[in-house]
Amino acid sequence: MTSEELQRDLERCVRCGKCRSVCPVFQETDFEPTVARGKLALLRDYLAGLRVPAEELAAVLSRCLLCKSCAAQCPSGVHGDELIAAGRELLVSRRGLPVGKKVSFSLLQHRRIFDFCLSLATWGQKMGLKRLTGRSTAAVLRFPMPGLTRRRVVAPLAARSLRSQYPPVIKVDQPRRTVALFTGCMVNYIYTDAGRAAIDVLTANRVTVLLPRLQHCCGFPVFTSGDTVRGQLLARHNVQVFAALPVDAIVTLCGSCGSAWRFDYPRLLADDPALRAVAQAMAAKTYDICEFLSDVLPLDADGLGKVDTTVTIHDPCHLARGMGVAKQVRRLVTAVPGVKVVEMAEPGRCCGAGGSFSLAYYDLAREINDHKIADIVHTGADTVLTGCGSCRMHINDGLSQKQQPQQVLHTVELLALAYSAKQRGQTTSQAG
Amino acid sequence: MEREQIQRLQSIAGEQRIHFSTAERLCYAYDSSLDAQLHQYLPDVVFTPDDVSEIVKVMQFCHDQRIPVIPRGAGTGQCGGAVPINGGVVIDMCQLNKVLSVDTDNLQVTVEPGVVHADLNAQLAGTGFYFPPDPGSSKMATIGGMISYNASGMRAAKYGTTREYVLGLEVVLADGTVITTGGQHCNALKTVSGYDLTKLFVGSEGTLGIITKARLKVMPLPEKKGIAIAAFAQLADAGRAVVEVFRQRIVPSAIEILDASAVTAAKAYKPGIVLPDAAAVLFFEVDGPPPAVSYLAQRIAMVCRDLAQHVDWTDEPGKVKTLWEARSVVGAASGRVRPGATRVYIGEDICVPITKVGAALEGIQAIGKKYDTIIVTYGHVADGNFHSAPVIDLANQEEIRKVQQVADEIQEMALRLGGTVTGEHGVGIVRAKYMEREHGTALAVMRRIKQALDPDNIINPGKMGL
Repeated sequence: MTSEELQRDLERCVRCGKCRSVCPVFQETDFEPTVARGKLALLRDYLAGLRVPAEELAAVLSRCLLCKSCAAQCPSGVHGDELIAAGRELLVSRRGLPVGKKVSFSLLQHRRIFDFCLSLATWGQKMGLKRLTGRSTAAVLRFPMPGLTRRRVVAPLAARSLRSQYPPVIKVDQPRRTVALFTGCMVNYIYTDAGRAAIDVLTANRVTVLLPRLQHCCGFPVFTSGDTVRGQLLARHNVQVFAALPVDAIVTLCGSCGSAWRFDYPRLLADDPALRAVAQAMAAKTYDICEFLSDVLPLDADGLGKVDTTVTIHDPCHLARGMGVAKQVRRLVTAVPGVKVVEMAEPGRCCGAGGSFSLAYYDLAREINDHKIADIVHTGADTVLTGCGSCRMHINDGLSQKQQPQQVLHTVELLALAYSAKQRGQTTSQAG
Repeated sequence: MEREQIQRLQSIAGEQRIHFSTAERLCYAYDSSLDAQLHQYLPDVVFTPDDVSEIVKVMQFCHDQRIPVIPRGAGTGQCGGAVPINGGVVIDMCQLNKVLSVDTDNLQVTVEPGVVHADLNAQLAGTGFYFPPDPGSSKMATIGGMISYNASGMRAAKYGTTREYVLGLEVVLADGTVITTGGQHCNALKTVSGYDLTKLFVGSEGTLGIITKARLKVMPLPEKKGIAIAAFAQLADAGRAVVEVFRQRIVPSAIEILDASAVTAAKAYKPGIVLPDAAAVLFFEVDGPPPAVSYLAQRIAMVCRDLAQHVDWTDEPGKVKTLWEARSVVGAASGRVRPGATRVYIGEDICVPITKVGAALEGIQAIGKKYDTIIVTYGHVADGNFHSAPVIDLANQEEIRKVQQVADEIQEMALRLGGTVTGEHGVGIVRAKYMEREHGTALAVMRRIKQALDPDNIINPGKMGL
């Protein structure tokens, strides 16, 4: 987006203030610079040449979860999150990235180096992390580390990444479809169970799954921090890796990854018309796993066995408000025999994770998360289902901090349990 | 303000309560008015108190130093009322947001001024009571702002404005003195003891003191709601229908109007909407016990039948929502009638006698035509109060110039028709120029009141033509 286009879009905010009623950050702070209206006004002043110090503007723009709540109900149709991200981009182009992000994005940019660093970290976490009892994917730091609050409960890295556990092609007999699975970093390196579940569910539905080895981070945390150049590199890399594959669909396991493919890659590759056209074609066949199993290839409900559990569903911002996937999740979950769904008060309310937001503003992210945890507890459910690794980790942290027993799963893990229950001819119980 | 004064404020109120970076100040330099989009109203300092005692100390200091103080709620006003015209301290009241007591047996609640209107009613929902005034900005407007501008909304037809529900106030005066209006220990629902200072502060636009607490009257929630809608080929017939409904001794809880421009906007925004093409569509809402609701909705339909081209009514909750939909989307829809353009808030709040409703609506469209400006008009017709929404390209200076003339002409017309330039949004900066004409010698009395309470003119100076 050019600064002229940005300026024009900013003019459309009439400052009615309706975003104050939904912005999760504002609702904790009651302070105008934290709400979309304030941020957009400030950005507009900056572009109009008023002397807004760039570091002050950057600090204001960084306090946004990009949760799309403001955009979802703006009477003027202003997409606050996109304009805030565009503002970050503009600032980075003028003054560069902060040091911490520069270092981490440089590492992330190179797939092999990133892989190597994470394998080192997998080894190092044996010493550095203390696993919590009673929760398989929960640990806290033993020593202080930059960017992580020690009391924060994180998920440890998996012993082996998902992609290293499978061949690049997972074939089935008489395939009904062939898909390429985009794992995303959280599933590849941390929540590998969710990846395995996705592969199990897809193959149970006679879908051949390609798992391209060379796929890399979707770039969402990079380009939403304003680092368009590296964002473009990652978009280009992934599009090129997936372009040659003879697949019916690209299936994603996280709303942010899916949004990157569907909305951001064509935009990021605008300078290269040929590749952009490829990215557009791929965007049109990118689906979240729940969307795929609901709208594209309705899952084989007869194969689902009984799972005795009470679940509640957290709708990730980029999955529900971004990709429009919410009712599909319910359709799938209610198809599983034995599952009781108790909706929380506000399933689409942001959990406060916001990717790197919860690293930079952990205390604020915790306060936002407290509402989510209270809503979850109120349902009486034993399992929380969600479709985003970042939400999962933050909700897990919140539940641990509040000494709550609920487990958090990717929706597709519940489906995998149901298929395996049928195969084993028994009921799986999730409670307790 | 001097650096030293800011440091003093920090030591008085605490560093975390005083904000003075450029970015923070710029976020308090506007409200929703077009005027505040076109001008910078930059404060020197933003003060975010969470305790009355901090306000008292800051007021004493500002009084001593002759520093302007501007109270601000959610900043959703449309008249430039909560922005500083000459710097000073903006007090953001939003962190004073507790409901202090709920006493529905005595039909009252006590709240801090930063409580958001919808939040108050959400908290009251379980009690079966509610605070009846209902501004369109319910989800963000604060009670303090509503009191300061005597806000109302659709249901003023039956329930009146905020003024009718304010029983007493705690106010910090210009010199830091704290007073309680409506009787310092009084919890009664009415009193005629002394001057009615409570009502003096209601609608005073923050020019007389800082409201820090409010005792409000609440009412039982109506059991049921019903709706009748009627579409008219002639604007004048819509006006006649409103008069006729009252004449038949029916008091609807709301009567809303969409003119042809708003009907077009709503349909363009949501093509599937249930809405006949017409010069005007009226929405009558009735509430009360179930049999009364059915009876009244039917009666209204009967009354309208002779004048309207299409009439419908219902008391089924699901259908009520469907019929209301066109009215509820029109605010959002008005900004979308012209791609790339923006709905702006200027000249948006005229109020005329009910019998002049047709003339006013025709006048607004004629003015729009004259200046080649799209204006979407809807409003609270039971009070003759209209919100006209000009839709312009803000990058085009010529359109900005023209829309200011449009607003002036609409407001002039309202005065000619025996109305007022503002029914519920307030005067602030943007309508100050009409005060002399609206009030004549009464304006001098207002100025004397202001002078008596704020002799140094430090509280929200330069507003309301005072």
